[in-house]
Amino acid sequence: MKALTGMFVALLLMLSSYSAASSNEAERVMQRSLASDDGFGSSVANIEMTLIDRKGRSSVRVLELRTLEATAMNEERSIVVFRAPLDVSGTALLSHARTTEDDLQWLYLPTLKRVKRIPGANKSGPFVGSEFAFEDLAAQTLDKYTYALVGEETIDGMLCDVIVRTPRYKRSGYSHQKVWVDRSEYQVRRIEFYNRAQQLHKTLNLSDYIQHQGYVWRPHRLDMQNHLNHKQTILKAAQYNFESNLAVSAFERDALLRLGR
Amino acid sequence: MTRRNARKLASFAGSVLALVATTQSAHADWDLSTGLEHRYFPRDRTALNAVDNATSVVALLKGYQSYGPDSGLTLELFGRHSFDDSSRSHRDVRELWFHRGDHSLEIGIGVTQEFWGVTESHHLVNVLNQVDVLEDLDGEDYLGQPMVKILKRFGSSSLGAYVLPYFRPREFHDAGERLGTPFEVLNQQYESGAEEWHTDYAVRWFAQMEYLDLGVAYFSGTDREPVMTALDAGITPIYHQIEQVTMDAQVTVDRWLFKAELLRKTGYGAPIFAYVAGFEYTWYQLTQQQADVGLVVEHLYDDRPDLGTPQSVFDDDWFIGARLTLNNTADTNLLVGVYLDRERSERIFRMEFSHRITDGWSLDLQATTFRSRESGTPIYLVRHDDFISLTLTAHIGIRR
Repeated sequence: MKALTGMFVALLLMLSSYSAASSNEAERVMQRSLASDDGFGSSVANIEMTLIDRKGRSSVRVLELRTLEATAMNEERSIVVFRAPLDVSGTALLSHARTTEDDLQWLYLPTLKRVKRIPGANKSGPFVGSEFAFEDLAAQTLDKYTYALVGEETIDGMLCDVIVRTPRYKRSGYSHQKVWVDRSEYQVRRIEFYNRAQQLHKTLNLSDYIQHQGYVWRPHRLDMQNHLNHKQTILKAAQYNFESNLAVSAFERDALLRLGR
Repeated sequence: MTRRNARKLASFAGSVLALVATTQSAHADWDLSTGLEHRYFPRDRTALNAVDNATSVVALLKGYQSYGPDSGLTLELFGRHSFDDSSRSHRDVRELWFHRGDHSLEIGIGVTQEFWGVTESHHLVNVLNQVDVLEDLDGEDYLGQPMVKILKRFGSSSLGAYVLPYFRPREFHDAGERLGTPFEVLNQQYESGAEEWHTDYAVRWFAQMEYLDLGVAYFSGTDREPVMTALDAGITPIYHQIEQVTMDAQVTVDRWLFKAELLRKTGYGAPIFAYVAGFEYTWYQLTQQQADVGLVVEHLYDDRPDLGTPQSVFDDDWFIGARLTLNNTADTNLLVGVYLDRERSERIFRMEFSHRITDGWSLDLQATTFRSRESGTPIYLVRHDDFISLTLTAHIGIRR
């Protein structure tokens, strides 16, 4: 009996050391992928968002996305300005996205010229009627998840590491995500999102990667497929500008009033 | 307009143009929205000119010219033409505003709208702009205000100073028209000999913290609300000189927003104290379709006497409102709210629905009802003017 217990303990130790190795390896893969677009400072992107319903009808929104790279405080800042549809043109959303806490968010309403601070506790909520949740679009810093390497697979002729990551934020809409990271350019090629009921909820395919400034990789096309409601959202980035050198102050509440309405 | 006043206006306009001329053009954007509105009033009102159906067209032109990252010129022109109740037709320069400066120091000159405050049911501390009563009685539309503004920021707080050289009086409906008074509103009078040319001043300090947003403001000048005084054959709006100190605060925790606006105003004998305070809570992704539902509960209090002061509708009222956001492609929104007076048997109900039909076309449906049994109150005067309105708006954008 003693021997059996000993064997069991040894097995447990082996298993745990194996999973520690796989999580270290998984973290290393993610770290390398994240590092490949570090140091961009700030960017301005013009984005076309196409919403496609289950009957295939589509509608287009045009957004300007300004991003400030996560600072030492681990807080990524972004402003989304709506350009189309025209009835919401000028509406803007400022977010200070945090890793494992609620975000800080402000909404600018051009008709009232009012900035309204809104609850940042809605990270799992839909981003402006799309199949993307706020948390899907936020910066993917390393400490947001815990990781495990589960295998390798080839997507579009590229050999990828497959990683399962579990969000550390309590209110995340997901139990876990499955991420495919290619081995040549270290970019995320696909993400499967599993909801709290462990169901496959959405699949995101990232493509048309372009290397900017000689080092910053950006996907210029994101296809999000929702398997539960059969709707789809396509994000296309027409251009990325990394030369605007936006200051931290351009991502404060009052900056919303100076956007040019 | 006297010669001195004309000179003052000309020099003000001249300095705006001079500032604009010193900068070079970069790019300009234009947005035009034009709407067709129909209002239906189901209850009879005895006055001859009280129509049951009123159709109007409305247009809003917005232009923005950027002069580099730190300056720009905003233009916003508004106009409404009513085919049925003529006094509702009006035009306004909502904005002609030049701003220059960066995050630490900013100056602005021209005509603009500036919003202060946090509450939903009533904007107690929002004092710089005159309310556009002809647009609606809900106090969500404002006239453009000529001003010079200097704003200095210190870390997460800021200090703004405002000089307001010209006052915009309220415009009223004609006697007997829907949503107006049964009496003729005569020309306004002023306590100050400078009349609408009295120079008003305001200072506002605003600080933003992790959970708390706090604003404290001081205003000295012509009160935006008049005392409606029965004189001769009608009512004369009289604008007094006042001083007021206001505070607005919002605490944001989790899905809760706790909000308060406080006001202390002097200039009518005893000081007037008023507040609006309450909370907003949002349930996110309530349905399969990911709709959000928000609940707003606010208490409104005002201790001003009925006589000798501008009348306040909200002396001791509860506001309960709900907002439904479908988060769909059409951005469908529904807002319902009711004001319940605790002492008088008065009640205002309001519903707003908005929906995008297709790109470039939106639809707004609105309903308001007034209930009052106490004669002499502002709500009593419009108790037969419940209305439903439907607006179809077309949006056009020009980008260069």
